[in-house]
Amino acid sequence: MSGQLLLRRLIRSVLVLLGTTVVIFATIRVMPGDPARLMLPVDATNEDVERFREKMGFNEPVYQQYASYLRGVLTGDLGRSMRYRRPVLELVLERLPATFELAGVASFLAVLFAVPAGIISAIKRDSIYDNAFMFLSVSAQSVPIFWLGIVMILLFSVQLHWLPTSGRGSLRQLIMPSIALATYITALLARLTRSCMLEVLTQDYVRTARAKGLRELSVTCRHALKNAVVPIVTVLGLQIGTLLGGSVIIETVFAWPGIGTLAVGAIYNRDYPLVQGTVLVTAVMFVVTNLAVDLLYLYLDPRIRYR
Amino acid sequence: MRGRSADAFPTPTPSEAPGALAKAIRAFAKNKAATVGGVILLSLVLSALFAPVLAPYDPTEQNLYQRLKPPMWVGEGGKRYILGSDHLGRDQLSRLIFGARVSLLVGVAAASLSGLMGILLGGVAGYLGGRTDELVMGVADVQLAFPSVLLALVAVAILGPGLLNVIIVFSATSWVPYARTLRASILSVREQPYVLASQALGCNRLKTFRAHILPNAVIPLIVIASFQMATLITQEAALSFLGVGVPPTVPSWGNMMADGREYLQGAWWLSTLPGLTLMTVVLGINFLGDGLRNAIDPLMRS
Repeated sequence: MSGQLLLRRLIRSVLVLLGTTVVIFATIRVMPGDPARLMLPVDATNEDVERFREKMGFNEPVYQQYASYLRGVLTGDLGRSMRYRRPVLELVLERLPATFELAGVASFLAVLFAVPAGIISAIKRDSIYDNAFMFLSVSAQSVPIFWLGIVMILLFSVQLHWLPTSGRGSLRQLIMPSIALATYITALLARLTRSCMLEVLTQDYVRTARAKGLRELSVTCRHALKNAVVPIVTVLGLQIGTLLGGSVIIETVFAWPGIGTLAVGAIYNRDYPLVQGTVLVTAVMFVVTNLAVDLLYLYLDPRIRYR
Repeated sequence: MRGRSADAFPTPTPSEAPGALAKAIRAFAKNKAATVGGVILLSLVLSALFAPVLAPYDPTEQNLYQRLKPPMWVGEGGKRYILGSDHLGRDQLSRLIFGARVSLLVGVAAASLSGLMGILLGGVAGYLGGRTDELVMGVADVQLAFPSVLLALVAVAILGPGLLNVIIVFSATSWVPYARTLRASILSVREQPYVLASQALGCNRLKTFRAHILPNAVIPLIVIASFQMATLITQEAALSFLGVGVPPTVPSWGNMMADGREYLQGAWWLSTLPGLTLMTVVLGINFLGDGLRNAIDPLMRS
């Protein structure tokens, strides 16, 4: 049964990925106006445009264009950046580690702060801690992250001169962008941990554990948390989209050389092959992570495996 | 006196039993955060509506002799500009007040348009099921594979910046939560006796949908709309901040933050105050959404 489930899940991921290539392919072709004109500088002559159309295959029927685009994608050919005059895949792969680093550290920070905060809130429900944590987390979910970035720069770079404003390379440069990026998901995870724990703490097996005379710490961590962890992991995985979207903004604010700044720069420069490439890679990361989360889910929750 | 005697002789008729709605309203009114949220949202609406009356100056009027004046409570801040002036000598307070228009318009228009789209698609998917359902949910999955900020960025970059384009793009990219919620609630009530009864009585699908299915799902949809509105207002500011939202000449909070970013060193108020305003509004709407959700969810209420 589990194998069939796995197969269905895999097929769905492949279909979603195919869908994303259609969307990315279509964004430029469906838009009003001539895609060649959109991509070329404003002062391009008619001959330039015609030559470019020929070169990019814009004169072929749309389905053939899509077929050759898809063939390219499958063989790792995402086209050439018009600005950098280099293969798009190469540029994207160069920038990926920076984005992974930022998103990874942000997720780590989020779990590090959110899970204990959520547990304390749940155990001390309606106490002053609970109210304070929950107020903080609603506020943290409401802060526009680009503004948070600016305020941090203003405070820690401009006023206090503690941290550098931008760039990547040292640990000190990682601090502000990763905290800014982590804020939203920390708040989300803390609230989720709280509600999962509240639910689990009322279960019979928790009462049994207490009745056996186990220490409260053991009840909380070994019996309750273990069962609350499944939804927490799932939501963290689903938040990869939020993280990637957030990193587009945070990378721009802190001039972090990741895939987000690459995408925004490509959009400003009308470098459409690069825009398509960065968006596609982002979508692939999202789909793959979601698939991984589902597999993990299968592993963490035996009930699904044996159903 | 009357209340007391009623208490003394309770008559448990169904009409006197407190209804679910009354309970929800009472729970909502007791929630202080939600009330604060409501007041904040109301102020946003009022300042957007009455911006020309409330704003002390024309938000686009430049005065190059009065550039970068700090707010009045800061050392050399004069009485002329309560919240200071920007790099072109425009009054910050007036720009904030007029900026409420953009935020409110984008939030309300995009949240309702995407809501309509989500209701339509989710309704069709949940009702027709089968292939249609798979197709719509497949499209939703594809949509979710793109971070919405990135998708909006690309779409606005191609369509060109502008308030209308921002609204169109946001509406087209945020329908999924509505559709999923409605679809789920249709699936859960589709086989309920009252829905079957309505069908047996000869109601067609549309009528059953309007009379029995939509009303049950409407409150969760409103809750989603409130959270979506907060998200969309933030996203509009983010797009404008990145320079692809509403045109730079229009006073909007995102544009103000983008302008102010160049003057962090000397004029901190330029980018912090619009951000603070934005955060207050988003916080208010989130409080309101939370209050609504808790008020309708009997489990959260107890």
